[in-house]
Amino acid sequence: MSEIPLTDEDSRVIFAGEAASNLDSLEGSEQEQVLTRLCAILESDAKPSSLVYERIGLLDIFAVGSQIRLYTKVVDEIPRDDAEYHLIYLFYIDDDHEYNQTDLATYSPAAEAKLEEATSLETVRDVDAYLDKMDALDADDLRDLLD
Amino acid sequence: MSLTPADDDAETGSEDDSVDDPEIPVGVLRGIEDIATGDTASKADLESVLDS
Repeated sequence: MSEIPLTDEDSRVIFAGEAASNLDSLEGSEQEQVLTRLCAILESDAKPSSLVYERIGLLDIFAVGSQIRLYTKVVDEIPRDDAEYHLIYLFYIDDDHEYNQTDLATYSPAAEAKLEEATSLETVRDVDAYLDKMDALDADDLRDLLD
Repeated sequence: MSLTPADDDAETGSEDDSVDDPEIPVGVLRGIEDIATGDTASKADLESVLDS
């Protein structure tokens, strides 16, 4: 059995505008499922990366029940020299596995490079200011949304 | 930078290196672009989504 690394760092999630639009399109019970799952991931003693259901390249996919998938990128332990946070970038909420071809895109090397660039924190000097600027949410924020 | 929808080359019949690349929902690419441009949703934004 594999070991799950435990963590003392706080976890945050950043919703892309696209993910917020996806959330808007879900039914109320599905919205609650998504927020409850994210809250559980943020509150877990395990690193978010250890809870990932599936990976496609640099994409980390979390499962919500049997139907919904959260397409994310998890960045564990930032800042690198004095880790305080784990960060989840939520790109897309998928509740539909029935696709038209026009609904699909190639996860190309260019797409992967774009993802890597967008989630790179190498040049971020003030992580707290960055999280504030990017509207990062913690578990308490998600609990407020669920209330 | 090119985040190419999967069907862009569908009618060309040309061979390229993307043949083995996995397919993902196109919305994932839009979400990556949103993060790259700082288009994120705040707590207030999500509250309005949940209230709608």
